[in-house]
Amino acid sequence: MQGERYGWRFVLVLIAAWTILAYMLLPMFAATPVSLTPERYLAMPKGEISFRHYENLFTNPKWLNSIWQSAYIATIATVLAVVTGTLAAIGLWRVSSRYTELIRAFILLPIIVPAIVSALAFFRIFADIGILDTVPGVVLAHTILAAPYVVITVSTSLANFDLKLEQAARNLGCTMREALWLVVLPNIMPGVLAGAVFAFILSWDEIVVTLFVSRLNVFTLPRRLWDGMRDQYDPTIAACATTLILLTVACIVMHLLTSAARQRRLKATETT
Amino acid sequence: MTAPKFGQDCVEIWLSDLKAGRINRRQFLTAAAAVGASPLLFSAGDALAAKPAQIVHSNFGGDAVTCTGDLYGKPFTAETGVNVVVDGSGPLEGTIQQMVEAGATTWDCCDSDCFSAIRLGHKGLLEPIDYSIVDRNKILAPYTYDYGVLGYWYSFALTYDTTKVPGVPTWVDFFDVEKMPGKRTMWKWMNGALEAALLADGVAPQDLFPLDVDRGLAKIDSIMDHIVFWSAGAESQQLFLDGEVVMGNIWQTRSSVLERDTDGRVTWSWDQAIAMPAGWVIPKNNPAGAEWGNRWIAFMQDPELQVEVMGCFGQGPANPAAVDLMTPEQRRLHVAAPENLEKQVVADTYYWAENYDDVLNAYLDAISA
Amino acid sequence: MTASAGSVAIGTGGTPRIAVSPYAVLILPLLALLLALYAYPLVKVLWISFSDPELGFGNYEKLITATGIRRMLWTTFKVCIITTSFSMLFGYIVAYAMAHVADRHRLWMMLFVLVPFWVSVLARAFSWTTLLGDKGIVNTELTDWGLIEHPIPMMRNQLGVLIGMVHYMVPYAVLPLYAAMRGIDPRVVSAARGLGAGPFEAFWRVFLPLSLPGIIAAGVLVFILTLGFFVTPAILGGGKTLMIAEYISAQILTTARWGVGSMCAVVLLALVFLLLGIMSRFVDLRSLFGAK
Repeated sequence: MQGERYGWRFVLVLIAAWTILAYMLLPMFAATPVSLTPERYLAMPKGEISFRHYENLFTNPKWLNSIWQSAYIATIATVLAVVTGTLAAIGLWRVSSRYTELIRAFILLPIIVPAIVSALAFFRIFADIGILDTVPGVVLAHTILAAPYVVITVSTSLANFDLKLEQAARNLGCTMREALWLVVLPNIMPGVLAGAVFAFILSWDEIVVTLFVSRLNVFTLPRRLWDGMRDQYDPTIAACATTLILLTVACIVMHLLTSAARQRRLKATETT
Repeated sequence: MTAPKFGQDCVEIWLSDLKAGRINRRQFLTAAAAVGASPLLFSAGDALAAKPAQIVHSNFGGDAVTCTGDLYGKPFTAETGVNVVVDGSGPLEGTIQQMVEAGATTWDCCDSDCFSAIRLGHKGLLEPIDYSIVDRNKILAPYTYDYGVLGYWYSFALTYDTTKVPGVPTWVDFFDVEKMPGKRTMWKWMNGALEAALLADGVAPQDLFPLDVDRGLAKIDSIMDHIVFWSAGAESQQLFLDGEVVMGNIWQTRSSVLERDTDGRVTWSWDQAIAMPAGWVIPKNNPAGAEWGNRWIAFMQDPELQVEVMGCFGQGPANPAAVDLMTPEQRRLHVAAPENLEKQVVADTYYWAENYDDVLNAYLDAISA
Repeated sequence: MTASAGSVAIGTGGTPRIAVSPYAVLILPLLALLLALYAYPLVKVLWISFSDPELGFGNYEKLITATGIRRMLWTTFKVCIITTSFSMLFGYIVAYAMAHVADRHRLWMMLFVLVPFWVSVLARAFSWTTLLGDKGIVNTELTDWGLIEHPIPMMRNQLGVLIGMVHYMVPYAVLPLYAAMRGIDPRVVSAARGLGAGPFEAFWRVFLPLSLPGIIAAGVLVFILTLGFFVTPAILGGGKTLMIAEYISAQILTTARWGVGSMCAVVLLALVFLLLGIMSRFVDLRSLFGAK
């Protein structure tokens, strides 16, 4: 391994670590062979492979509809969560008192409260105000669940941002809005983007709350998967699971490569 | 413009007058008769009960969604002009209760076990069945209730793998792991399981209800290590397809699909299967109105349609007349064909209405130990 | 903090002056959303545990009287403890390795940790079902190699739930542990070695205690998350492992017993907050949640 030299004890640790990592990653590809079966039921392909279940995933109106619905619910929820979450994080950062710490704790509640309990709360309030099983209902639920993550990521960025910069902008005659838009926001963009990624994936994957607040009109991709696993073991589920996993791998590889490249650049500029 | 169309047009105008309170009902009917629109009275009658845009039927998903929508829904739309939407998200008791109590009922008709219909009716969560619309004679006695009707049958039948089980097993064999080794499967949500256990323990079918719950649970516990529990229909099928179990207490609709898919390797026995009368209920304040809920139920009572639906996903017709329309092969698969029903034990709807939640919780406690 | 440039003073004369920053307005949209659509119904749901079917502590008496509920809680607790222990052990090994390897090597390890972290819980549960069944990949391979005669039951029982849950939780253990270990100055360990400690002693006496806050934080985090697990037990447990989240769902949806269901929700929440309270004694929660 490229000149890495370790003592035998650490080699043992490494072997253990890689065994665990194998347990982490490899099982997720178990669905892949099943997804290539030519049969209509779940089975390992025997010799012949087929992409018919992938075709079904992307042509069957039910699956397509779910993919599309999940995508736009996640998009709207992400926008709402990022806007409200970022504003709240800036507000908390700028006001910063004993009370805001309490408010911060309160805002983080949806992360701490188990999903099943949140589901009950949404189930009741949405029924009362008549938005059960509507896109706005699911979007609102996902927004509330995702916004705290945005607050966290943005707060982390703000912690590294010098308050004096913003004050200087204000002293130079910027309005609050200008100061936020021109000075603060560009500086905390990584936090905002990270929050957006969290929010999108949370909404895209959310199942427990969605199960309670949707029925007929809203049928997100996770619900389609959940339903499929209970009703008809259709290999399309395997195709969908495989696609989701491969997408995730691709995104993370890209992320790791770009961040590694950035670090290398940073190091290069430090040494020169 | 042709005459009937003209007549219809007049009726529609008067109808809007009627709704707006400009003329009364009798004036409306007289006027309609005057333009020779009497054949239209039926459809005008529809409109009187404020013809809804759609009927939302709720069931437990899967093939039931497309089969109900295509075979009951489409002809209903053709006849009445009212669309039928099928929601497969599952009309569990708690969901119905929640939506009714919140005043947000979105379903017009729900699939429901008959015992559930009684329970929900007692809680005031359902619209009463209007037997001037729904025909009692099209329902096997005595399964007509104030708040629900028998709509279809299903059954928990002893299903087995013929390559691993010699002969036709009984519940006694099911609970005898030494005589017939191998895994068995039962439903995680109880129904059918306690009845089978007690029958295996020597309780006579006529003495089954009220259930001796503790005795049944003890019997189940005696083979707990050999039981896997299925939670959804697909799972019960997969367990047999994978050869993971040799016997199962599963929905007979799934048994017949298994028989087809495995070319008879897996089959089932009607003997002492637990027949479950199930049907349709109308949640309180349903959007299309109680009358239309009842009409939809009445429409689904058609024996020919019921036989077609059975062909689609196995749901056993409730209308006794349906049996006469069946091919011998269909009769063989039908829970309520007299020759099959007499072999089975019918679950006591009143017992379950009274005890469902307590016994279910006792069961869940026992199996998850 | 000191009065900032943009603060506005409300109140005049004798009344005390309360400074309200205009920035406070920024918090309002989210706060309003949370109050109206989250906190309010949450309180209502929790209140049901005291009011349904009748006012009083009837539902809470069941915690003592109903053996089934006690057993369900015990199952939940047991599964959570085992899951947390294994996740922490696995997580610690991986994090330790990650903290001590070269950059490129670490990148690979990170990939293996992050992919399961982000992959949909349903996709994972599904993959496990194809692996763990009696005719699943694992049992088929083991039988083919002649290692076992009869398939090992790994699914639709507690073992299946544990395998799936540990798999889910390891990344949640690795990430905070790794962050904590990166904060440990390697020179401290070198110093211990320099003073004559063996490698194991240096780890046991120096590195491990230094990573303790990370262990506690990660452990409590993992435990809290496992308490509320719903999907994995429902899919891999096969009815034999009934945990609190699925129990609540069954109470609400299947038997419509809101009182018992919401009582369990209160118990679950109380446990979560209790654990957070314990955790706050060891680590600064605010640093965990980005306030600092």
